[in-house]
Amino acid sequence: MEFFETVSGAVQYFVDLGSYIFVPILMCVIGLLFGLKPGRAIKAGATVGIGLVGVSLVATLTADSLGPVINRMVEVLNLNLTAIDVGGSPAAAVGFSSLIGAALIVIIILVNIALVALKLTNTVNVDVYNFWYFAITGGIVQLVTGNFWLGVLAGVTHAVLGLKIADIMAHRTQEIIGIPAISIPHGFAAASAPIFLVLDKVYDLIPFFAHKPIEDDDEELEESKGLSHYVSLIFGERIYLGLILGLFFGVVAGYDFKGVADVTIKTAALLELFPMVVKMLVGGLIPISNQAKSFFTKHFPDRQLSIGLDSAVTIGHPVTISVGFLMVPIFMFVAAVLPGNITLPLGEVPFAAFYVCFATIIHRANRRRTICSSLIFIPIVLWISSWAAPFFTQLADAAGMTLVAEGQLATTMAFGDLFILIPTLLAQVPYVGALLLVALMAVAIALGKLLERFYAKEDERFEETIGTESK
Amino acid sequence: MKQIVIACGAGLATSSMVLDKVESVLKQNGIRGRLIQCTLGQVDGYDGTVDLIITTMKVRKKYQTPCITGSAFLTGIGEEEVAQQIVETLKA
Repeated sequence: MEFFETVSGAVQYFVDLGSYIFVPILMCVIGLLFGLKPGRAIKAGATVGIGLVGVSLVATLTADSLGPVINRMVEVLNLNLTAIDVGGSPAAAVGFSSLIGAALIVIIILVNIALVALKLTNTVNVDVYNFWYFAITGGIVQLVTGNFWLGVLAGVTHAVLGLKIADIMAHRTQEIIGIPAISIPHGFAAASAPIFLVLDKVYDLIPFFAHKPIEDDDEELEESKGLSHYVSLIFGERIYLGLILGLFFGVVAGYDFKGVADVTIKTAALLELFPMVVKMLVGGLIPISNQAKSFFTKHFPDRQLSIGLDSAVTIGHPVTISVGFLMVPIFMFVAAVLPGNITLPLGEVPFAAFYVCFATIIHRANRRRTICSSLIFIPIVLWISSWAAPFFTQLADAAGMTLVAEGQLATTMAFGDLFILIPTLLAQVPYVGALLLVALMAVAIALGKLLERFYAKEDERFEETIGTESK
Repeated sequence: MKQIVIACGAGLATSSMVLDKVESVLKQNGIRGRLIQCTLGQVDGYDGTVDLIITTMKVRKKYQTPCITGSAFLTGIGEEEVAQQIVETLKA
């Protein structure tokens, strides 16, 4: 007993040092574990730490400057939006600022190796930066159950569900996106897939959504200059979008010129600075990701593996781009009127295309289907991110990052993720929580095999009759 | 000094990975370059004023500046060919 107390005391002391001290040390150890040379491992660890320091510095900006004006604006407009969407990048920093986040990097890579060796998946997820989604799932479960290992299991469950979706949709992803040998096990994009897969089957029954072959002389697919060009110029640039949103907040809150100008520039600063400091964090994780990738190619040379990548590689599709822009105002409108929603879209607004990208793939770029699915998906995203708000606010506080003002909650639309919600709910079931998580993984793996075969046949039929994409 | 834009969906994760590789390709071939990392939406602003655009995804839009898909640096498949393409474009 005494031994365990000493160990847990030491762990507690280590964690209490603060995330920007213990996380770099852990990352350095993980780097060494994956075969990095000491110099590179130290640099990688320190780079992650610098990213975390950066995030906590920028976080004060939201808490001190934006918190009060948003409070005032919400009051004036009589809205119930008490949870600010701070964006995915600070959420990533919070995810990695915990023991569970660092542990999950190692454990998920090991689980992935085991699943590949057992031929239960063909996807290797080397997108280590986006492991932060799994870290958040683990963190929330640890928070609500008080059990570290149950949190780890929930994080692993999220990752495994992502691998299976990636497997099922690997062929279609490669066809539509046009990159060979990839799949998307991304913590958010893959989690949006089940809804889109079900909707796709419903659309099959409705003539309005029928797939039509793309003719060679179809002009409308080409980027038309004009209005859409200017819309993309404004919405495609984080800084412009930040200025517009900030101006809106300040004016509605009834501030004077100085106040409005202050909020305007600080909102733009927020949207630009978070990704900028998180870029450090990404840079620190690249060596680990590269080591993992070379391990897989070295040890499984005769397997046809798909490299699991960030959904960012799918954002170039014209349907994703145009539907993404269309969703920017709709996110705002739905957030204001949706009963039960408390999330105020902000940090993720410039990234609306990420909420659409998997619909484009599943619906084979059929524009009507993609728009309809996105409209159905938005309320779900907002509800789940509202649910996650109190948990995330606590996780951020524990990591020493105060993201919002007193009395406000922090969240991000990036939590609008079924693969965070479902494992958390299962883990909370008394006594059998862990069992249910294992069962969910087993079902996903078994069902995944069946679905893989089903969609392979469907894709074959489709490519014979209509082609790769429809309109 | 060559100016190279590297773009991905969010200008964050995947473009950082490609940037890391492009940096070493330039170094190996003795090319001096300035690398600009951005989102796909920001590429329009650089089009026509830089020497090369590298995207992490296949892009259908036509740019004036030569454009290369750098996804090989993410998957590790066909890396050498893309590296060669980059060097040839910059030395041309």
